[in-house]
Order: sequence, then structure tokens, then C-alpha cells
Amino acid sequence: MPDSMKPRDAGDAHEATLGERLAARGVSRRAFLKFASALASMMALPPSMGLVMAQAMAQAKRPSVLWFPFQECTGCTESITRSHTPTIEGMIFDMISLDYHETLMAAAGHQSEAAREQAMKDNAGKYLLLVDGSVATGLDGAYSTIGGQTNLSWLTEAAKGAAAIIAVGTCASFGGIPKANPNPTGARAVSDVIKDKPIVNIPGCPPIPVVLTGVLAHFLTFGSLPELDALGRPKAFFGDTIHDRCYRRPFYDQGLFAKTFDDEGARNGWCLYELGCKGPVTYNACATVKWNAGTSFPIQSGHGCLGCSEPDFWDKGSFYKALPVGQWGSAATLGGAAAVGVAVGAAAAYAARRRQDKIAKGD
Amino acid sequence: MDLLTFARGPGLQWAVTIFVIGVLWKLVGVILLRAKPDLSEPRNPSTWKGLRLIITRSWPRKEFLRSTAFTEVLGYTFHIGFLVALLFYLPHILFFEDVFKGVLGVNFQQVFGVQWPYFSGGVINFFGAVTVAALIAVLIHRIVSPVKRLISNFDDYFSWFVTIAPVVTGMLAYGHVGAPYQTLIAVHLLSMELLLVWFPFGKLMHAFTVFLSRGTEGMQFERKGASL
Amino acid sequence: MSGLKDIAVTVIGASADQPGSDPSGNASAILHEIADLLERLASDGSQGMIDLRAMPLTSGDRAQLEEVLAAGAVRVAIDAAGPTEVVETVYPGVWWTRHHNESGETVAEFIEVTVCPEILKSHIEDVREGGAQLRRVLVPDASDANESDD
Ligand code: HEM
Ligand code: HEM
Ligand code: SF4
Repeated sequence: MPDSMKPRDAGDAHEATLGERLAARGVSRRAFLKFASALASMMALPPSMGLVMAQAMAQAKRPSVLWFPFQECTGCTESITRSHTPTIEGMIFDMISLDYHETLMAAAGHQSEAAREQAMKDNAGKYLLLVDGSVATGLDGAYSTIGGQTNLSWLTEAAKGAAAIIAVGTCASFGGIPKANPNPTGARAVSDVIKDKPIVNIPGCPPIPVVLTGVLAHFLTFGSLPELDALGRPKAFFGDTIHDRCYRRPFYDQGLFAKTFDDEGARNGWCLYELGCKGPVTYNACATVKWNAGTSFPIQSGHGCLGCSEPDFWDKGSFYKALPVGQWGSAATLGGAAAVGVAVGAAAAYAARRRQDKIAKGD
Repeated sequence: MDLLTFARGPGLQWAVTIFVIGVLWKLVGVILLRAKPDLSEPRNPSTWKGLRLIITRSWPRKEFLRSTAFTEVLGYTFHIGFLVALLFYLPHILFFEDVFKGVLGVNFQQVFGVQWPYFSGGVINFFGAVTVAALIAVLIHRIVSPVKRLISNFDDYFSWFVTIAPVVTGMLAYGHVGAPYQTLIAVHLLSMELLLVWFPFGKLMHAFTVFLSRGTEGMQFERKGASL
Repeated sequence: MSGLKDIAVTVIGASADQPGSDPSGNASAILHEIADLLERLASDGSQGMIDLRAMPLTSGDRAQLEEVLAAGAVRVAIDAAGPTEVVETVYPGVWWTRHHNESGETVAEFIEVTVCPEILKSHIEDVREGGAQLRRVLVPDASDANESDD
């Protein structure tokens, strides 16, 4: 269990700096510097920023964080809590004062709602709002409620006092699987509902934990959010496609493709493009940061990328169809088009002949 | 809907549909036209031999060899380059095989017993670069040569543009140059769709009609006893 | 039970981050930068740092770097959230730092041009806390003091 969820020892938790907290947890400043350097490197900051970040973060007070779960599967929380100290992504829970997280908090029922309201009041204008899951907007939000209140009302209410909102996972970022066709609950992304607050999207199904660490570190060090791309994703982690950084890329370039999952090409580790890899059109850091403490990522394990950090990835056709496949229409449409074409051509020729006849007759 | 979703979805489907309608419309329309009756005495009993003009017009007659060499060589260069880039690049082949299977219900490989051969990305880009260079050269020639410029209209320039556009955008997409890949690929697909839509209604239709006109002309020449 | 070894998997050329083996020129660029940084360190004491993961290095580039920047007199093993290795190269003031995580993966790799890399220094806060801890150890009856829970 993340340490911050433990009952607070008499009032000091909010006051303690991040550096002190980590030291109390046995993370030496040396280890912290190492984390910060690695993080700076991962975020493509100048290497000297590692020290700056370590110093700034050590002095930082941990921001109050409210984490709201909406239409979600808890996979995002799983992904992030499965990362534990002493790893960089495990620092997430040391970096924040997590004042509300349904799944992780000990309190329940009215008690937990009271905690939420208290935190919102105490830290008005300063807290970070983390959301996983999409926002149901159908029937005024009635499809998804907590304690009798809709997610929609929670979000609009809590957004008012938030310094910034971080949408964790594809559902909060882009609507996710709940928004899949035909979207019965009217699921929307956080950014579809809230327009007047800075929002960072950290999509992924689940998202890469260290991206959250990076965003928080940036916030603690510079007091601002990192640079974002057009879809609101931190550029440092979403600046390249999977394909850009894929170690199978030389095979793509050479035209060496696996044709099935168990052929010679698959065994040789060739490119998975023909088997439906969406790496070329997917922005995420899996190919460099990887998963499970740097062990592997889907393509390394022999499966094409699903494109889970892109909007509407579930509605873009089969995961196993190559990108150019299945897009052009159907034989029936083409047959219809051919019939129309022949008919129009025949009519045109007929009209031309009629005109010739008329001219010949001298009309 | 983002650009790529449009380009991959409705954009592509409409372009293909318009292309099929347009090509058949124009072809059927031309074929069913009534030929002007030729009242002169035929010099040859059979005119079928005239069809060989379809082939022999593919290279210039000796008399014109020197004056047309430049256009001929460049013309062949960009046509071949274009077709190689189009037909022997794996992502394209996946697309064509998919259409093939969708229309005929069988796999390309099952019908022909072989895999559709393809080149690596580097080779395709080489052909692409040669194509672009040759197309730029013919454009310059078109502008510089007074006669060619005089007989050129919007159709010529626009057809040139829609021909070079997919090659340029394809290479940019391959190299991830200048914009996010999704944008590049969307632009590549849109340029290809523009080509498809324009194709039947402009001079690009020569890809089909050139054979018709050579054949007809050959048969007329044969009838007149002209040397082919 | 069949293991991975029973499946005829031969992964070729997949030495992950090393796209090719020919030197790309990046290594010489780095070496020239190091030379510049060394001059600056010598003249006004300003420090420099190069992130080796910030640019693509082929295995040829690495070989070139390792050959020129061979290990010198100092080699330090740090154990902080996974092993970290700090080696002073044959060029005094040029340090090669490799950070690994607990599972041995390299998480960051730097060339530092400085008289002493930051990570080697004891942090004054740690010193203070360590001192207090030592006091507690020396005074056995101060058992009510907070122990840090490692
Ligand atoms: C050097 C020249 C070219 C290069 C490097 C190139 C590159 C590409 C690439 C990388 C794709 C893959 C799209 C994906 O993975 O989603 C693609 C798709 C495609 N390109 Fe090209 N291209 C070139 C020329 C052309 C030309 C001349 C045409 C046709 C006029 C064309 C038509 C297409 C089509 C139909 C697709 C498949 C559509 C799809 O992906 O849904 N390309 N091209
Ligand atoms: C089998 C198919 C084709 C044949 C036999 C053919 C034949 C020809 C011929 C004989 C010319 C005149 C050559 C010259 O001016 O030197 C020409 C020009 C041209 N063709 Fe094609 N063509 C074919 C397909 C295509 C396709 C598919 C495209 C583009 C999508 C294309 C684009 C062009 C262009 C842009 C020109 C004008 C070049 C200029 O500006 O001088 N052709 N073609
Ligand atoms: S496996 Fe996917 S991401 Fe990797 S090179 Fe092939 S298409 Fe690109």
C-alpha cells in the first residue's frame, strides 16, 4: 500500500518536504538524485536538470491530490500501484499527498466523501485533480454515480478549485472503451467537459506509470505543466511513434515481415506490420521506457502494437488487420459504382448519337 | 473525426467509388460513340493489323528519335518509377491484395501461386526520388518549350500535380519528415484520393484511352494503307 | 513442460537500442564536446554533462567511446536503488556514470565533466540525519526516538 495512505502522523505529513519524507522512508538523497537524473534523461531535459530537479523536489511540499475514478476498470490504478519503490515510477506516491482515492483509501462511505470535501476546501485553487475513467454524460450523467452524485457533477465541481487536471489513461484522456461505438452512456473525455483548466492527458491502456512521475516532477520543479502535444499529451513521452523507436524498425525498412505469428519471420523477430501492428500511427513511450521495470513491451513480446494511447483505438478495426487493410469499402459498393459508371457512359454515348442524328437530319 | 480517420475511411471510399464510376463512364462513353463513316475505298482488305500501332507507338519512329529522345526517356522514367513505387511497396500491396480479395473472394496468392513481390523501403524511395526528378524535368520542359506551353492548359498542370503529389507525400511519410506521421500519412492518402478523383475526368485518363486511340488510329491508317 | 528453449526462436539483429554497428559519427561528436567541456572546466571550473541516451549510438559508436574513454584510476560502485557505477576515465575530470535499476537495466547514462560527480558527495541533509542516528545508537536509553523504517 502506498505510504501516503497510511494514517497521517500528527499533522506533519503536509508540512514535511518531499526530501524529508523520502529520507524517512529510507530513500537516500543519493538515490533520489539518481531518480531525478534518470527522469530528466527520460524526459529529454538537459542532463544538468537532474540536479536541479532533485534539489527543487527535495524542497517541495507535496501537493494535495484528489483522484477520481469514473467509468473505468481500475487498470490504470493497478498499473501505477504495481510500480513500487525503489523505482522511479514508484516515487509517485511519495510525491503527492493523496487525499482521496476510493480504491486505495482506508475510509469508506460518508467518511471518504467528507475527506474529499475537506481536501477540496483546504487546498482550494492548489490541488491536482487526477481522473481515470471517462465521464458519462448521457441522462445528465446518471449512468455513473458515486454516493448518489454523478461523475459529471463531481468533475465540474472539483475542477473549479483544481490547479490542473491530469487525465490518467485513455478513458479519461479520450473517452476510452466506454466511448466505443455506440457509446450508450454518452462517455466523454475530461477535456470534453472541462474547458477552462489546464489538462494533461496521459493516455494508454494502461498508461506508462513513469509518465505520471515525470509530469508531477515537472510540476514540483517548475510549478508548471510540461509541454504538451496537440492531443494534450506530454511531448517528452509522446513525441515519437512506437515505430520511430521500435527495435524491429530495420526489418520494416528492409521489407522483412512476419506473415503469421508462428512463421519463420516471427521467429526471426521481423516486423509485425502485416500482422496488424499500429506502431506507425501510435505515439507513446513503450518502445523506450518499456514495461515491468524495463523488461519488455508488446512488440518485443511478439505482438503488434494496438495503438492504445490514440483516440478511438477500439473503433479503428481489427487489431490484427494491417493498417492499409479493410478501408477501401466493399465489393458491393464497387459493383454498384461500376454499374452506375457503365450506365452513365451508355447514356452519354446515346445522347451523343442522338445529337449526331439531329445534326445529320439538319434540325 | 480527425484527418487520418477521414482519409482512411469515407475519403478513401468515396475516392474509390468516384474513380470506378468515372473510369467506366468515360470508357463506355467513348467506346459506344459512333465512328465517323469512312467513305473512301479501303486500300487494305483487313485492318486488324493496324492494331500493332498500340505497341509500336511505344517508341518513336526513327525520324523523330532525336527530337523526342528527351521526352521519351523522361516519360518512361517517371511512368516506370511511379508504377514501381505503387505496385512493389509492401503497404501498397497489402492494400491491393485486400481489394483483390474483397472483389474476387480469393487471395492473390491462391490465384497466382506466388507472393506479390516487393522491394525494401530504401529501393522504393529511390524509385520515388527518380520519379520526382523526372516529373520536375518534364514540367520544366513543358514551361520552357514554347510549343508545349502553348498547347498546355489547366488539365496538364493539374494532372502533373496530382501525379507528383502522392510520390512526394509518400516519401515524406516514409521519412517522417516535417509533421507528425499521422498527418503525413493522412496527406499521403488524401493526395492519392485526389489523384483517383481527378483521374477519369482529366488527361490522366490517357492511361486507358491511349490504347483505344492508338488502336483506332492504327486501324484507320491501315485502311488508308499508310506506313505504320 | 516445454520451456522457451524448446521453441526455435532465433532473434536476429535485435540488440535493442543498437541499430547498426558502423560508427555514425555521433561518438566523435561527443568526444569533441568532452574536449571543449574539459577546457572550460580547467579554465573557469564550470561543469558539464552529456546524456548518452539523448542520441542514438550504434555499437560501433559505443566501441569507439569505450576505447577512447578507457577506465582511469577511480572506479566507484554505489548501491542506491540499484547499482550505479561511476568510473573516472583516463582523462581526469571526465567521469562515466551508469545508473541501473534493481533488475539491472540501465536507466540513465552520463558523461560528467567535473572534479567530482554530484552523486559521490554525501548530501548535507543525509549527513545531519546520519549524525543524529549515530547519537541515538550511542545513547541506548533514548529508545523513544523515531527509528527510520527501512
Ligand atoms: C515513393 C513513393 C511512395 C512512398 C514511400 C509511399 C509510402 C506509403 C506508406 C508508408 C504507406 C503506408 C500507410 C500506412 O502504413 O498506413 C502508404 C500507403 C498507401 N499509398 Fe503510398 N507511398 C508512395 C507512393 C504512392 C503512390 C504513387 C500512390 C498512388 C497513387 C500511393 C498510394 C498509396 C495507397 C493506396 C496506400 C494504402 C492506403 C492505406 O494505408 O490505407 N503511394 N504509402
Ligand atoms: C499503362 C498506362 C499508361 C500509359 C501507356 C501512359 C502513356 C503516356 C504517354 C504516351 C504520355 C505522353 C508522353 C510524353 O509526353 O512524352 C504520357 C504522359 C503522362 N502520363 Fe502517362 N501513361 C500511363 C499511365 C499513367 C498514370 C497511371 C499516370 C499518373 C497517375 C500518368 C501520368 C502521366 C503524366 C502526368 C503525363 C504528362 C507528362 C508531361 O507533362 O509531359 N500516366 N503517358
Ligand atoms: S513492429 Fe510495428 S512499430 Fe515495429 S517496425 Fe514493425 S510496424 Fe513499426
